[in-house]
Amino acid sequence: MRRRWSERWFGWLLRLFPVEFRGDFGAEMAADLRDQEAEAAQKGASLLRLRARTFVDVLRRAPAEHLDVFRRDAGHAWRMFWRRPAFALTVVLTLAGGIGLATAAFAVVSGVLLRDLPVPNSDRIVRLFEVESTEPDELRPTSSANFLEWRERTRTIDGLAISSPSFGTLLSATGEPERVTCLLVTEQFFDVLGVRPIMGRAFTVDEYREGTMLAMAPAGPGVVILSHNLWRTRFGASPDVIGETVRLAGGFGGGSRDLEIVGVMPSGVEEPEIARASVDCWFPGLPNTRSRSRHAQALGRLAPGITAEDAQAEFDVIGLTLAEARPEDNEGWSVRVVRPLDYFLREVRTPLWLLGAGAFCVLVAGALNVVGLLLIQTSGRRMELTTRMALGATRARVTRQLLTEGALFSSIGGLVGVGIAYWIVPVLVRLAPPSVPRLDQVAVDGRAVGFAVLAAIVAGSGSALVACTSFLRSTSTAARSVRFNTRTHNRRLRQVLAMVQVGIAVLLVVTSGLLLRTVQALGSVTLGFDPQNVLIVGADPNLPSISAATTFQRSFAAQVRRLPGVIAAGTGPTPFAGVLGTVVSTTRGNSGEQMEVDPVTTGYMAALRIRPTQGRLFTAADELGVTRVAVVSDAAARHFWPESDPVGRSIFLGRGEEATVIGVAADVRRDGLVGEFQPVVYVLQSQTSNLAITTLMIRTEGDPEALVPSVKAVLQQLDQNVAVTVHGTLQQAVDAELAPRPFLLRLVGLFSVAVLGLTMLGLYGLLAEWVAQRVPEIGVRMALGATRRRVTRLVLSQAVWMVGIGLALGLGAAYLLRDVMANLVYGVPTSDRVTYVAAAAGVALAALIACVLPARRAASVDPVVALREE
Amino acid sequence: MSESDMSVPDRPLSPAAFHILLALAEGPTHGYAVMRRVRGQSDGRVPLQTGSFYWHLTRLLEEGTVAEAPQQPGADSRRGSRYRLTARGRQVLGRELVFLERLLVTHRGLVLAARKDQA
Repeated sequence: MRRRWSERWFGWLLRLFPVEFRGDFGAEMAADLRDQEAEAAQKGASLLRLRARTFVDVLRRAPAEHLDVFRRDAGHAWRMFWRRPAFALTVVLTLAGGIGLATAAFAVVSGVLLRDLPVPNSDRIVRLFEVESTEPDELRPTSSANFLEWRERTRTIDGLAISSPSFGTLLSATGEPERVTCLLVTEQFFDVLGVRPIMGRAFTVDEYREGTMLAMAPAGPGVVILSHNLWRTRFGASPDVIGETVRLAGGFGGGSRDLEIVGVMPSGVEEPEIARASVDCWFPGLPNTRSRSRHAQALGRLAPGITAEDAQAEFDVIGLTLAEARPEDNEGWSVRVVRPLDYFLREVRTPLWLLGAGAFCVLVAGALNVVGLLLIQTSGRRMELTTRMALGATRARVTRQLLTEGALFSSIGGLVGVGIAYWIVPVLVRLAPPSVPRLDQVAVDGRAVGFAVLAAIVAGSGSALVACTSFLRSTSTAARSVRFNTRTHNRRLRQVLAMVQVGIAVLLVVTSGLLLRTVQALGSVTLGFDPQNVLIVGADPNLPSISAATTFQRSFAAQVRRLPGVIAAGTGPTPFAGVLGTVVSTTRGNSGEQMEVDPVTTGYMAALRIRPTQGRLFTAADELGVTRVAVVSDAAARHFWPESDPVGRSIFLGRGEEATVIGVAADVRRDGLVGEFQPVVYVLQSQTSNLAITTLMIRTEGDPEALVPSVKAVLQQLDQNVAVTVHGTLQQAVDAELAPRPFLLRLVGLFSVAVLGLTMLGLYGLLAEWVAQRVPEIGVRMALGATRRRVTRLVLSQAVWMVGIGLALGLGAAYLLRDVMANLVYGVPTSDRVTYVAAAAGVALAALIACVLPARRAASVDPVVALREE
Repeated sequence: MSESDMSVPDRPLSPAAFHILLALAEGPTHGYAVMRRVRGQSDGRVPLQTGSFYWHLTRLLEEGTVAEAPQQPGADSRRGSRYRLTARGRQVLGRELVFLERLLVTHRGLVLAARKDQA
C-alpha cells in the first residue's frame, strides 16, 4: 500500500518533465527511485530525506528540460521558416504591420487618454461645473457666491476651492517681456490637489484673506508662487529665488507691481488638466460673496469612501436648494460633478478611441489572414505531420511544435511591429491636430511595448492554435472516416474568417465614408468671415486702466494700418478662442440672458470682412461720438426682435449700460464650426469699461506672416514693456478647428484600404485553392458541355454568399455602433443610407476583383489536360 | 550527432558529466548503478539525484559521448536501458583526465603541501 503511494507520488512529480523525456526515462527513473529507497531502508537512512531531495531535484531539472525541448522546437521552426521564406515573410509582415499599427495607436491612446492627473491621489479629485437647463451639454464655471454656498453645505467633498485665470507680463532686466498665465486660487486649492511647494512655502491664511477673486480688482498681497516650468525656464532653476522680487504687469490688478516669490510648486501642478491652460504662477484669492458672475473653476477632493456619483447626488440636491434660495441667479441651473480628465479629454476621447479601434481592426484582419495562411500551410504539411504522429509523436508533441512555430512568427512579427510603431508614432504625433493635448507624452514606452507583446502573443499564437486545433480535429475525423477531407474542414473555417474580414472592411469603409462626407460638409460651412490673409497678434499693454489700454490699442492699430501691405486692422475676439457671457437684455432692469458681448475697434469687421445685413457697421465717427452704439449679429437680431427691424432699438448690457443698435452683422462662427450660430453683440472698445480685448486682426494684401517683423517693430516703438504674441494666421485657426476630422479621415481611410487589401488577399487565396482542387471536376464539367461563362459563375457563386453575409455583418455592426460617431459626424446622419450603400458596393466590388482571377483561371481549364491528369 | 563524428567540443565537463563518463568507463550498466558508482567514486561529493542524472544523461546521449548498450540476456527486465561509453565519450573523458593530470604535475608543489596539511 505504502509502496504504491510512493510510486504514485513520483509519477505525479514526473509529469513536470516534457512528455518525451517521461517516455524515454520515466519507467527507469521510477525503478531507480525504488532501488534507492530499498537501499536506504536497508541502511536505515531517512526515506523522507531521500524523497525531499528527489523532489527538489525534479523541480530544478524539469524547467531546464522544457527549455531544451523548446530550443529544439524553435530550431526546427526556424528551419521550417527558411524552407518557405515567401510564406514565412508574408505571415511575419502581416503580423508586424498589424501589431505596429495597433501599438502605435495604443501609444497615442495611452499617452493621451490613459494617463492619470500629474498630482497625488488624482482619482479623488473632481471638478464642479454649473449647467443651464437650456444647454445641458455646456459645462460652465461657477460664481464665488455659489462656491461659498457649496462649501457650506457639502458633506461629500472634503476640500473645495475655486480658481480664476488671467494673463500678465513678466518684466525683468534680463530677457524679453514674457506673457504668463496666472491663476488666482482660494485657500484649499493646493490641499485639494495634495501638493506642497518643493521650495519655500504655500500662501498663508492672511495672504488669502487679503486676496481677491476678481481679475481687475486692486492689488492683493504682493506674493506669488512659481510653477516648476517657469522657475526652470525663466529663473534657471536657481535655488535662491525664494524671497526674490519679480515685476509683473497686468495679471491681477492692472498696472505693474513687484511681487515676492514665496514658493515653487512641483511639476505637474501647472498642467492644463487641472485648471485651464498651462499655469505659470499662482496668486492667493478670496471668494467674494457678492460676486455672482460665473467665472470661477471649482475643484474638490472627494471625502474618503465617497464616489463621484455620491457627490453628484448630493449636489443635485444642493443645486435645487440654491435655485430656490436665489432664483434670480440660479433658476434653471444645476451642478455637475465631473472627473477632471473626463472634462479635459472630452473632445479627443471619441476620435482617439476610434483611431485605436481602427488600428485594432487592421490587426484583427491581419491575424485572420495569418490563420488562413497557417491553415493552408498545415494542410500542406499534412504528410510531414501525420508521419510524425505515426512514428509516435503525440498530439501534444505536434501541438507544441506548431505552437512553437506560431511563437516564432509572433516574436519576429512583434519585434518588427515594435520597430514599425517607433517609426509611426512620431508621424502620428506630427499629423495630429494641435487641439489634441498631451501629445508630448506620447511615446512607445513600456506600456506600449507590453501591448505589442500581448498583441503578438494573442495574434501569433492564437492563430497558430486555431490552425493547429483544426488540423488535429481533421486528423481524428479522417481516421474515422476515409472520405472526410481535411481541406473541407479547413475551408469552412476559412470561409468564416473571410466573412468576418469582409464585415470589418465594410465597417471601416462606412466610417471613412461618414467622415469623408463630414469633411466635405465642413469645407462648405459658412464661417461668416474671410480667413485668408489675416494675421493675429496679441499685445498686452498692461496699463493701469481699461481706458489707457484702449488708447494704446487705438494707436497700435492706427500705426499698423499705416504699414505697407495692410488693408485693415482692428482689435476684437479671435474666432474659436472661446466665448464669455455677459448679461444682455432689451429692457432696462430686466435680468436678461447670457450672451456674447465683444468689444471691438472700428477696423475689426473690415479686417475679418464681416458683412452688414442691415443698417451699418461701426465708423470712426462712432468712436468719438457720445452715444453708445452696438451692432448685433443676425442670430441676436432674430432672438430679440424676431418680427421687427432692430436698427435704432436700445439694448442693455451687463450692469445696465444702454446702447443703440446701429446695424446687424452677418453671423460668424465664434465657438466651433458646427451647431447653431451664437448670438453676438458687438460694442466699441472705446465705449466699454469692463472688458478689454487686446488681440489685433490684421488683413494684408500678401502673405500675412511676412508682416510679423514690422508689427513687432511698431510695438517696440510704442512701448518696450509689451509682450507680443503672434497667434498665427486666421486661416491656421480655422484649419486647427477643422483638423481633427481630416486627420481621422486620413487614418481611418488608410486602415480601410489596409483591411480591404487583406480581405482581398484572403478571398483570393481561398478561391484560388478551391479552384486548384477542383481542376479535374471543372474539366469533367467542361467536357460535358459547361461553357466558360458557367464555370466562371460557379466560382463566383462560391464567393457571393460569403461576401453577402460579410456585408450584412459589417453593415449591421456599423448601424449598431452609429452612436459612437454621433459627435464626429456633421452634415450627414450617422445612419446615412447613401454612405452605407456606397460602402457595401465598394467592398463588394473589391471582393469581385479578388475573385475574378481565380474564376478566370477556372474558366481557362483545358478539359483534355485536366482529365488526362486525373 | 553520430559516433563517427569525431570533432570533440573543447570545453570543460561539468562535475556530474565527468563522473558519469568516469563511472561508465568501468563498463556498461544501468542508470541506478551509474548513480551509485558516481556517489562512490566522488566520496559522495557529487550527489546525483534521479532527475538530475537523467537530465545530464540526455545531454550526453545527444552529444554522442554515451549510448544505449545492448540488453544483457537474462538481466532484470524491470531495469531500464543499460548505457555505455562511446569512442567519442572515451576521447572526451581521456582529454579531461589528461588535463587533470597536467594540472597535478604542474602544481606538484601545491599538491605536496596540501597532503602535508591533511596529514
